[in-house]
Amino acid sequence: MSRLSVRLCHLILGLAILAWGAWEGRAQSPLAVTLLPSTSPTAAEPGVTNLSVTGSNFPAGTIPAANVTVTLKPTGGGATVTTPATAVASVVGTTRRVSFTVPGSVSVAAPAAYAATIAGTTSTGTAFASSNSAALTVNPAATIIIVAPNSGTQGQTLSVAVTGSYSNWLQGSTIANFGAGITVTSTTVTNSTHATANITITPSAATGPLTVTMTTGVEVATLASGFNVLSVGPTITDFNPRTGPIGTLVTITGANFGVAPQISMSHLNGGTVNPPPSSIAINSLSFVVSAGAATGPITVSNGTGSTTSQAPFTVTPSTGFTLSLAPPSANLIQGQSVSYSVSLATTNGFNQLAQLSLSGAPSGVTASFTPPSITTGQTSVITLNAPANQPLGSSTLTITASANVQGLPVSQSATAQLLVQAPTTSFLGRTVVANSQETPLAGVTVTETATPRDALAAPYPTEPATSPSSTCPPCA
Amino acid sequence: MRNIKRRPLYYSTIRATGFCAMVCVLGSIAQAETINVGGLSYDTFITAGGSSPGVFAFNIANLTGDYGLPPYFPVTDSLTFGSAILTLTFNDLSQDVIDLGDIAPGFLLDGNGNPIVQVPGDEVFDSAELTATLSPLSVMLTDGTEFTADSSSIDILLLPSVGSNLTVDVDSTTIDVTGTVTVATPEPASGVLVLAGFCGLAWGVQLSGSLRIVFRKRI
Repeated sequence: MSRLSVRLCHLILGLAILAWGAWEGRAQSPLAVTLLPSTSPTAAEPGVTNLSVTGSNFPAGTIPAANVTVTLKPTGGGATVTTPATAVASVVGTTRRVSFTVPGSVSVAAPAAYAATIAGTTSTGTAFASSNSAALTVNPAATIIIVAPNSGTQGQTLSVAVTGSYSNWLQGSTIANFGAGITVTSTTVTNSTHATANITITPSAATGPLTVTMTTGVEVATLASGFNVLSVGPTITDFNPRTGPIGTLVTITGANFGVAPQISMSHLNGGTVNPPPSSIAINSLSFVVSAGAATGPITVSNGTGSTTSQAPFTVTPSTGFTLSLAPPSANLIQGQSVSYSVSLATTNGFNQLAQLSLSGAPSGVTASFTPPSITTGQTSVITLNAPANQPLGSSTLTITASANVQGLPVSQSATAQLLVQAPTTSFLGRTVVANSQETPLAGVTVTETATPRDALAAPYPTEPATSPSSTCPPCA
Repeated sequence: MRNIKRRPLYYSTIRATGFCAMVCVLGSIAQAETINVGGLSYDTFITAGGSSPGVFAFNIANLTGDYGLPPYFPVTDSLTFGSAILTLTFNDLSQDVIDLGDIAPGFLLDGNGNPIVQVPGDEVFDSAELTATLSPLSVMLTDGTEFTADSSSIDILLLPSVGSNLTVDVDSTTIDVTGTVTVATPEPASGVLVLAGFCGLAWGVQLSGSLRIVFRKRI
């Protein structure tokens, strides 16, 4: 064989080795797998929902799930995470489905777009990798956002509406839990984020906040302090006394007043007054009616509820007075005047001014008080004036004295008769009666003349108007 | 010595040209075939945890159009599974009939991207049956051929692969359709070109035969 032939053989051998190496290199590059555009489902809750990505052109042979890695890359930027596949299932031919779960370590505040790719090897070492990615959306972890109502009292049975966020609640699968002392009798799931739980709070349930939990498989949605157990609210069965002035000690009987009940009554000027409790027991409560309190029902509240008495407490004035009017009857001559005196007295310390007023006087008669207001021990003179043409007749006068005691109106009245008469020139049989106020007598004018003193025959008094009681002799 | 009988040059040319003409006249070749257009599977959606049995799902995929996955899901046109109804048969033989409406290419998901047909993980099913209507009946496949379904109805039954009840993450089936695959008819200009090509091929064959004879003569 010639040298040229040998070199030609070497050349051919080298080329063959190079071609073999290139072929081997080609065989070791991963097989390209084509994925569907999105995962199924497309929404993922980290650590909870199972997803799958389907692709074609997988290599033949067994593909253990542990040999497949799913890479999740946030499309908006951020850290890429990987997770092993949980299963690889054959669909048909070279089409396979790779199942996985987004790692629970992935946490997003709002739904975030991700792209999933896969890579792996068969049990015999044939490598493959996806040539494209499948889209998915990673949601925040499921939570409870609303529990309504969010409280109940011991022993109460009620329905509670629960609203979730990014949850996957399902009727027959989701289980509600309200904590110790509360029994969930049934749960009705309306949709993936709304459910209603019927609960019963045991009478012995501890008061305070509890965590509400909705469990759906491995999905656990919670709301810390989502429900509050309250003690039973107070009740009022009676109170005594039912009436009294400011400062009266009132005792309320009932139940569940608690350790810090608050008492409220209506205020005279609107709003409420809150007299502090004088004594507190489980089933009784006493307090002193405080200044400003007005007549009305009593309310007791203790933070777990409130109750109001059916009957009102009537606030009465602490002091009062009596009114007297004299004379009980008087004549008013047309064109002249007549006076009455009104006096105010008290037995319990009334010391305020009472405003006087008159009613019942016949039309045309005018009246004036001197002074217009009096207090205990004082007297006011009421002068009535009749015009000359005042119609004759009788009427009942009512004198009223009004005052305000601790914001409460207090008034007393007294009556007297008034007889309007025509003037007369006859003095026969007329009686002059004096009183302590030296009230002028209508129609009576006493004139002392210059008659010598001794010319006057006893027993006629010189000042009949001031004598306690005298009879005017017939005028000469 | 073998007696090689030579045929005239025009004989083979006429024969090849005739075959090509027949192909052009007939226009296409049709054959019956079954193609996959989707899948129905019984999967875990949320694994059981605590005292909750978890959530399973019946997933339905329409793998046509943008969700085509050749070569085993070869439909490039978008098919619609119209008026789809999924009938779930429980182990007590009671049934739950679910109206799914029309299913476009992709996965059957709700507005949140989750499976529409979810069931508690402790339910036991004997079977699941999907019925729907296909629209359109004729679609293009990735190899350029046209597929025409024999019927507009789809009726897919998912049965247990093991035992008498469906097993989650195990039982699944493809949604397939039987019909006719047809090679598209060339346009008139294309037909002329094809015909000319065949003529040239026939001539070439004939020419090579002549050259072979000449070569043998030289040998």
